[in-house]
Amino acid sequence: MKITNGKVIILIGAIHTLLTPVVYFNQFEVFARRFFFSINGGFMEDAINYETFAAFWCLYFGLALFPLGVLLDSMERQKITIPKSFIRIYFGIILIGVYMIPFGGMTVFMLPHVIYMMIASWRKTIAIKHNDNILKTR
Amino acid sequence: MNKITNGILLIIIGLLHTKLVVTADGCGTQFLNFSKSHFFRISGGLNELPAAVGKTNFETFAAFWFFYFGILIIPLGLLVHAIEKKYKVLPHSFTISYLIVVLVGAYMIPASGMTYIMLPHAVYMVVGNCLKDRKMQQKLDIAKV
Repeated sequence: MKITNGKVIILIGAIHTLLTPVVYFNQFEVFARRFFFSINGGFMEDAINYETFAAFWCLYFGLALFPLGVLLDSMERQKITIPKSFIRIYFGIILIGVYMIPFGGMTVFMLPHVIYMMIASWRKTIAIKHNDNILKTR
Repeated sequence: MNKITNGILLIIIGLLHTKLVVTADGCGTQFLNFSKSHFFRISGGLNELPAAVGKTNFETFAAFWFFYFGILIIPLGLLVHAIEKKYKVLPHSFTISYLIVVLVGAYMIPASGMTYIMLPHAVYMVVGNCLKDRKMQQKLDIAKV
């Protein structure tokens, strides 16, 4: 099985999702009592319950990485080049996360991966240009 | 203007979410506090975990993750838009996994943007994508004959 960037993002999402109930154990215990249904009033709440919100959005960020990883993996398996605009914006977003919370998973897991993704994309572009030049000279 | 794709809709959802977060209706107060430190090192991160009252600043974490989810949707939309422009059809594995994630959110917080904005769009994307895929298959079959 070839390791793609998509699979790495799915793995990061899985680690994030699995760790969230561990680090927010008390909050998830309360959620479990309600079978995770309607854990927060959403728009109906007069004031934000920050404990619930922190646990939910932390979990949901991890879950959101899954479809992103699935889409990337599907593209890479079909040998479709990842758009550079995507890589640049994704890199920018990771940098924002690293800047805002330097001692977090963004610095430890996501930053090294996005740097790898950028370098791989850059090397691929150079290889394509090199091949084009060879074809032109022939 | 180019045709509105699911990718563009996702980017709009991401932008609306981010706008809500930074306004007074969302976590405007927290973001005002973050601006005092130029948004740098707003939280101790892993040092504040496992979460506990007195140790973890839940307000900061809630505002950050709420915001960070919104901005993650933007590159996802960009990727979806690029695929739709070039290949017309999205992988079903993606549309279905996205629908499942949205359903989880709508189940956990029913009175929220997941139910009113993201769920209708996710259903539209799954159905629209299936129809497009079927149409393309029919065209291919006709071409083969």
